[in-house]
Amino acid sequence: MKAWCSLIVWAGIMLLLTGCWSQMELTERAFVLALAIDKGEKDVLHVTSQIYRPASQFGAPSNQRQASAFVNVTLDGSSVSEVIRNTKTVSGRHSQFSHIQIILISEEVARERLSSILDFFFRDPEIRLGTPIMITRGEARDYLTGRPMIENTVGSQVFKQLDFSHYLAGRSISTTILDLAFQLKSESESAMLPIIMNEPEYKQDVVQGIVLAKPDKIVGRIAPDKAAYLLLLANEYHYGILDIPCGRESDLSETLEVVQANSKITPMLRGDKVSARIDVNIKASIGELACTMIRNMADEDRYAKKAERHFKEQMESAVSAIQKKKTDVLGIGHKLYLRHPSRWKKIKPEWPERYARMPIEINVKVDIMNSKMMSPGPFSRIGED
Amino acid sequence: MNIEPTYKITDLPISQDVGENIRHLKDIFKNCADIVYEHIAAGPDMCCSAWIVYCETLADQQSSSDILSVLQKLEMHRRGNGEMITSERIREWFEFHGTIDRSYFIHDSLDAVVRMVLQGHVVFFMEHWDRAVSFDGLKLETRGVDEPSAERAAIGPREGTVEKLSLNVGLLRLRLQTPDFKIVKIPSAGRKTGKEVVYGYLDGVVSPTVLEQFEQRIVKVKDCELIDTTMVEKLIQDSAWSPFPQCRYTERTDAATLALLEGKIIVMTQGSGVVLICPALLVEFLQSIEDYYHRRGFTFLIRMLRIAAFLIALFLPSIYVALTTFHSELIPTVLLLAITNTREGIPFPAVIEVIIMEFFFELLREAGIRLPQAVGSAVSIVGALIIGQAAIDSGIASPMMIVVVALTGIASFSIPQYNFAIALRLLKIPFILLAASLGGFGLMIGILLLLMHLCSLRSLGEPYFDPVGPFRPRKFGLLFKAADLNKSGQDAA
Repeated sequence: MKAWCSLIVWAGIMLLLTGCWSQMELTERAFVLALAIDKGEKDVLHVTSQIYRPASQFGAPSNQRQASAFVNVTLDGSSVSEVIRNTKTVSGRHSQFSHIQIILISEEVARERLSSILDFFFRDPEIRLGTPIMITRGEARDYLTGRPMIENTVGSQVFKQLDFSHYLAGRSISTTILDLAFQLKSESESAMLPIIMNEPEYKQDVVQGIVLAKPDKIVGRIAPDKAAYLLLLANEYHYGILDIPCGRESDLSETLEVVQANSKITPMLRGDKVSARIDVNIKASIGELACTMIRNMADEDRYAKKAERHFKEQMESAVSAIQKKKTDVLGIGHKLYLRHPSRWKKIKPEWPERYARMPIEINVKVDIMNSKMMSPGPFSRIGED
Repeated sequence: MNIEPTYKITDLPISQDVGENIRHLKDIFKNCADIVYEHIAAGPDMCCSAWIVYCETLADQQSSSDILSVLQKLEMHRRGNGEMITSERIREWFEFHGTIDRSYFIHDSLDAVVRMVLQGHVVFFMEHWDRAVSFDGLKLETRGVDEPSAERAAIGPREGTVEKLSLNVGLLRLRLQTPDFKIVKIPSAGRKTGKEVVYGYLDGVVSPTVLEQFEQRIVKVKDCELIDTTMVEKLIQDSAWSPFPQCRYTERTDAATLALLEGKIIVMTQGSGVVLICPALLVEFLQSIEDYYHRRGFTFLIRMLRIAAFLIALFLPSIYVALTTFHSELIPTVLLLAITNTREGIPFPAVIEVIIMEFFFELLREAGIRLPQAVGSAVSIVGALIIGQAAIDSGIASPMMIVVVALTGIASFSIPQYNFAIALRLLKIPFILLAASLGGFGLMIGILLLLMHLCSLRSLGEPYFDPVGPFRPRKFGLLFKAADLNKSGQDAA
């Protein structure tokens, strides 16, 4: 009996001495849904956290509708963690980062420093490694203000936009903290990040385009229409619509809806010469036709060849763009390292230069799966022949 | 429960003097207004003085007149033979078990007579005879055989037990027409209550070790003042401290029959319709007799549902507390935001909120049981609408909490065995406290302790957590389907 008593006492003490004490009521926590990091003067950072403001059910209903579901708290500091710790002095609640939807970093900051900001996000146990990171054109905190279109908070709105932009539209890439870490720490030392920009004409924020990042800073931008081809090359393209211009005689263009796309990058090291081959397979159905009539199999083949030619051109221009920036976002260097680890050591110091000069051969294969509900010819021309 | 009787135990023999016997009896039954003493004079010349003693509230009036007619018939019979009827003749008649149209018993001690009178027998004393004759004249009103209200089933027989033991045994005997179905009687348990207790089993199916254990324990019933069959559980259970019941109860004869076929022992007492089934295992509390009447797919579905109900009834409030106070990162964002909305403005921590609402719920449940049916439904409406809505409006509880508590309550109602649901209600509270103090870690400690307890618990020597406790994957089928009955009898035990 005595043994039991002392066992219980010791077990209880051991439980209490762990120091892991996270008991906190929901009403004592402030859930941060988005973070925005902007540049202040010199090395000062403006960190904006978007905190969810729970709508109490006891207030008058009319008040509730007007109040927005979140508040933005902006504080200055030289490091992210310092600012975040101080957030409590403004919000009065303990900030909880486990539910961050998105981290926005302004282009201005990212051009100067990237890794030093990111350190906090890799280190902190509360932040999920699956949180996406995004670069903003202009001030990052501006993207957190205003009213969300459909979602509860702007943070989740941006997160949904990004998701759609990558997986269904193929105009940007969704990069999580973990992806970013893998890409920057790989032998290629380059990463792709999504970018959000404001269209002043329509007063709306659009997620499109890709930013090229090196470990310490971002180095360049790929336009949204080229982004799709970069994604295709990097085997990150899921679904989307690709344009094919009709040709010299008209301004119209036709579209293919990509159903499935995959690519394979094969780096080659012959003697001292580095080269790479990228095979891209696209399975697509016809989205819109404007100037092509497909009457038989030969027509279809011709059409597919035309699409292949066009896609290859576009991809080559995308590749030359990233080669010009010396960012190996396709991970060719890393693949090379995996194949020839010993020789890679010699290549690595001069890799960016060699990469910029290396020949990359692109093979595109397009399979047209179907023409959807209609016969394969433009609607406007039905009955002409 | 050993209460000494106020009257002296009369191992007094019945005296030759009838008057003395009656005096003794009147002394013993002092102030018992329902004992009737009738003096009759039998025989041709009214020569034989005799007394009839019975309890008028138990025995049929018809019985005493039956005795008289028996005596008259005897007289007629003897007269036809030309013999004189004397008290000796009558005595001989009874002693040599002459045929009469009623069965009778002969007693030689006053103690036995007292017991017989209290069991509704009509006792007959005769002059110059140190014996008494008793006829069973018990006449009691019983309820008709009816569907038990606590164990309704959509399909299957609607037959339930009643408060009369002989009828109950008869109903079972009709369903098990085999001499293997043994019924063992313990004639009178308890000095005051004097209950007739009966236990039955199917010989050859029941495990001999279980039966031996059971018989060792049931012996104690003789000294117990029993009111209901459920009190027998205290005598035969292995652990009194465990929250888990180690016996099942039923009022359905088909359920009792099935239990017998599965090698269980049943206990019934006079004056109670409850049939105790032992040994009971944990998985059996999630089974219902109806499972045997449905198709296999549906039985599987309903068992899964009950296992889910078991887990919900036990863990849901504690999981809610652990998630909201310790592990908010485990809740999906949209749900979390919804919960924070409902929690905003609640003055209490989640654990206090849970305890308050569980308290309300238990209070309503208790009130609903005690009240008459018409008022009871009013209470449930008041409970559901007024208290629930008012608790939310006044900011005592959040709607999410109402959902949690209500779901827990509903889940505990869907456990087929009421006494098992009580165990879950009891265990819910320590789990809530553990979750509130140590979160998921505390829950894990609680679950480990619970599993340790379940694995070490025995029910009449059988492992209670079988087939999970002694890990027997081949028997896992029992969890999800009704047992095959066409094989039972040979290898069920």
